[in-house]
Amino acid sequence: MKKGKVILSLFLLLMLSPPWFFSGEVGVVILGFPAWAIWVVAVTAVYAISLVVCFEKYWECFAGESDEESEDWL
Amino acid sequence: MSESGSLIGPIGILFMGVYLLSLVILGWLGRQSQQENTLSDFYLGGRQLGFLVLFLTLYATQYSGNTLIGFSGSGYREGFRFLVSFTFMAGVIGGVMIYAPKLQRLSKKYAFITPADFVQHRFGLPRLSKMVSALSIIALANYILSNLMAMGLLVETATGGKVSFAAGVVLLSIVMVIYETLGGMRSVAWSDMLQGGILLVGCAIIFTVVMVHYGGTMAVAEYFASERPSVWHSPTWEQKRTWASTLLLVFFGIPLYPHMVQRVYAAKDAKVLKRSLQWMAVMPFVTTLLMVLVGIVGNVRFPGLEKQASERIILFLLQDLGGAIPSLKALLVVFVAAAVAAIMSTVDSALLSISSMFTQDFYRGGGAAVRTEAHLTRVGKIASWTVMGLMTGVALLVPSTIWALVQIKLELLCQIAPAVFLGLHSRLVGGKEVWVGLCVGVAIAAFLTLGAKFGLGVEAKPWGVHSGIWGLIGNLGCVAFGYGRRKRVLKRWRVT
Repeated sequence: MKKGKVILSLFLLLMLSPPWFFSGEVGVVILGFPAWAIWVVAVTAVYAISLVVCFEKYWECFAGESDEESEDWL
Repeated sequence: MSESGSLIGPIGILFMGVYLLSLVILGWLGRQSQQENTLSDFYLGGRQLGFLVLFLTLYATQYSGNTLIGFSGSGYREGFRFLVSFTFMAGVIGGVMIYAPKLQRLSKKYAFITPADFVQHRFGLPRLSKMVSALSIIALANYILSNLMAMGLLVETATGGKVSFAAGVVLLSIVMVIYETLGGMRSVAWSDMLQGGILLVGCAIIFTVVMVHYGGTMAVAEYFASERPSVWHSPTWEQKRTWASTLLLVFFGIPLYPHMVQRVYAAKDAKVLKRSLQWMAVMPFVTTLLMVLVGIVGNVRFPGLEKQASERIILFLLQDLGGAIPSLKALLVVFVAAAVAAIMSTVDSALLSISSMFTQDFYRGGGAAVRTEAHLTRVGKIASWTVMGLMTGVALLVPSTIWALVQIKLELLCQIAPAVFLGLHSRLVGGKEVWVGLCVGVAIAAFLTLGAKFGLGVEAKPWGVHSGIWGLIGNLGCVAFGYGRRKRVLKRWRVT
């Protein structure tokens, strides 16, 4: 089930990237970016870095060489 | 623009000529490097692509001309809200992660050439694999058509009409099909290296110059706050739903473009593929983000452009820069070269992919009297010329109103996701429910998209969500039903 959890975590992180928690006024402006845009860039950065780490750490698990022995591969 | 009305002068045109010639030479070199006359060698470069070639061909394929022209235009119009494109380009690699490690291993073991080969191997249902292949071809044909149109317009604008739209499309199409049929994947991947390099350098230079000269995002903040508060404030709930829906559509759609899957097959080994994908995960930061910001900053210098004019915002900025600082005129040549390179690298990959699917899935898979692999390769080359001829003809002759029929790409492609993503990782997903799900998903997506275009009283995005995602929900519902049934049967069998 490990890869199921990795896929789900990354997917949830991606779905967290829209500015769900911001509404209406801009509020803080950082380097010319409204706070909600900073949120989008920051979550995307975390997502991209997580992808790089997961590729490194879970590649073998995703390649599933031991899958064939289990009853349901997930 | 120069006095003659062209963006690039004679030296620029010469530069472009040398670039096109170099592509043909790369095609010839690809042919010289051919190791055997087989489909695997022709369409997958003998499954021997190393890190640099694989990374740059993935990069040049994922980032099309739309990245340079379309994204900056949308950034100009939608402001920071178009940062969705930056996230979805990273999301694409998240989608690839689900299938690439396992599919690469299986493709080596079972000699897959096309995505449908896996579907056939996994489910053993010819009608399912044929439908996967047919949907992929439709999506790719549309992809080629829109890129050919963009290419013709770019050439016509860049040369001030000296090279017409039609001549531009025909000339570049011929160059592409020549180097593609000479060396197959090897030529395409090598030319992608050149094109990807130009695109990467072009984006970095253009971004730096535009940001330094126009005061960057700090300057634009003031403008947005006072002049366009509607795009400065946080998106509304409906816009946020559409934002999430766009991420989903791209996440499930773009990773399954057949030319993307075939690059996974073409990797030399797992290590090379892993490194290439790790680099691809961070490429939105040096491509998409930069181009969106260039478009946003364009608001400061050229406020109030209409939609059509805003598509050319990057050209306006570069012309303006060339006028202010003559030494920067060369930037226009860099931009035109980068844009043409980006478009060509996408079209050549899509063309090669269509040719492979026709040959492997329909010609060989359709029971044609196959003699040798060399015969199949020859059929593939003929298919490439035919497809390119047809696409060029359609781009030049078909009225734009008919285009509504072929505007569906990702809406169709994402319906393949359950077959590949779930088929790879769960044994309990069966072919029949995947087939039914695919039909249901395609029907919903096509009905909503075409119904909205032809005024049937339906919305293309009910509740702000794309038609493809509604289709995918129906599709996954069918697969889940079948999965649940199998699981219950398995449980009962275990008990008895």
